[in-house]
Amino acid sequence: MKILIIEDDPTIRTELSELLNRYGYETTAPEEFTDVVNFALKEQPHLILLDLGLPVQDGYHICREIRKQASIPIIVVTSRNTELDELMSMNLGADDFVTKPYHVQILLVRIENLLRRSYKNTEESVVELGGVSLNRSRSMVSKGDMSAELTKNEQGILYLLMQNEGRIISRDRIMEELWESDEFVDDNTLTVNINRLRKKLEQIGAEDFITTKRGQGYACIVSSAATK
Amino acid sequence: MIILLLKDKRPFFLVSLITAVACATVLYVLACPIQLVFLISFLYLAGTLFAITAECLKKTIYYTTFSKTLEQLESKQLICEVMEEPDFYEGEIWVQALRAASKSMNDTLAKNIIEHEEYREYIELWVHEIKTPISATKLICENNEYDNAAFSDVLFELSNIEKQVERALFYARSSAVEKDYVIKEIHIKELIHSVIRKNAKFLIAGKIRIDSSDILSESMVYSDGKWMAFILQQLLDNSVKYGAKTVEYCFSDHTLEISDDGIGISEGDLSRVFERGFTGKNGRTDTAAATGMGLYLVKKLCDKMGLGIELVSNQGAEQGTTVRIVFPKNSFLSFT
Repeated sequence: MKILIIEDDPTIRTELSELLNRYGYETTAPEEFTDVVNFALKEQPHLILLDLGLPVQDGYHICREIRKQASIPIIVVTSRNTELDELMSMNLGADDFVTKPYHVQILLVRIENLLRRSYKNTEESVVELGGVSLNRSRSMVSKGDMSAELTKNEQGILYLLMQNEGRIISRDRIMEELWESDEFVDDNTLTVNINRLRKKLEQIGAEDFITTKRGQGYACIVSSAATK
Repeated sequence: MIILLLKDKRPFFLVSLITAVACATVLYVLACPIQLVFLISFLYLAGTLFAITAECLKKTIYYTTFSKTLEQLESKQLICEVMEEPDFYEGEIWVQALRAASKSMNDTLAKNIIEHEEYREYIELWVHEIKTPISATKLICENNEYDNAAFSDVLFELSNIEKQVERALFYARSSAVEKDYVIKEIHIKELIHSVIRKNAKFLIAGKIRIDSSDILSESMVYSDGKWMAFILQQLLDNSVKYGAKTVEYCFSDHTLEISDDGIGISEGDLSRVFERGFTGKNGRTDTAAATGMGLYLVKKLCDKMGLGIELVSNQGAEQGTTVRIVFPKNSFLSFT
């Protein structure tokens, strides 16, 4: 999936690209703002992140112009955070509105939701790691012929760990991820969720897929032999 | 009033009396018949008295209307614009002086209003400007968080900066002359959740339990989403600051109830928490370091949007604090 970042601050532009790349998105961003509309139309991205405060042309204008000619989903990202700005963006055809300084996790969720809504049938979101694959559209985890159904929380945990392969993810960080989908779980619930997830992984023959690092958190560590 | 005005004319009347007596004496010496002397004196005094009374009566009528107009006027400095023109010279002097004074005052007032408005606009602009570097710093931290734990700490501090910046913004907004909020129907549960999500890091780190399961996801309220989010943020910050481990959100009958199990507020302080700069007993401890701005702003924003807000707490019984926000039953306010 290709995301077009229209943002005049160079630091935000590069860091945002890096972040989105890390989450598996392809990114492109104009560095000149004289003809953003045509740049966007030429690049044909799957989604546009549009900052409102741009040099040369106003973000509202760009939003309207792009909307006139294409139905690319647009998320307006702005530091102007009044209801009026939000209403105005929506009226001009933006699909979502995120205020700066945005919470990265929230931004990622919004991007993902919008992409899912806009390109429902084009592809199923499947992540694969060390022979274990997670199908997020069907909430299923499978290895070989075996598969198991996951709950929303279990899937969230597994996805986060697989996405950050080899990195230790703290319990707090996992909880943060679950809180993103309005599951305000506490410590005990998390333990229960992790244990259930482990059991399910065991059932499909992927025991030890999740490693516990005492006092630090959890990680998916796949030995290079298994990946090849 | 007429009596007082007449009393003012006493010297004039006295002089007239003396003149009358002097004239009478002269006439008497010149051998005028005594009846004639009395008649002339009487006519002279009566004429004088009549003239004085007539003048006082006229002024009484004028000043009475003037006082009444002034009393009814809400902005007293506009009196010159609405008052009747006096038709006597003394009055003209006063009116001129009054005009000059109120013009000077109105000019100063207008200048101050403009300056204040410009200052407010600058604060808003500044807040929007500062958000760009904050966003950039945040992104840098997020991108490096896994490799270096120090970035997590920076992220935490950044969120504190963000909160303070947001406060400054809303302080500026709360004193705006024109209305810059939009009242519409919003989903209260989604709004509460968005605030909790934003604070996930800090709530999880503090092991704070959040319960909003009682609220139906289709519950709606009339309010401005951005303002309401700010209010909820301040209340959540307060709960956590004053030792809450559980924060519960309930909603029924247009009323949102937020209860926590923190240290509560003493009875003596309870009535003053919405005052600007009031910190109370709890706020003056080393750990809290209250500024007394949070609840003041909350109250101000609630008042502007037409929401009722009250705080209930029982420090002795250790029942924490409960905040009740009463929403309007319709969007009537949005048309005013």
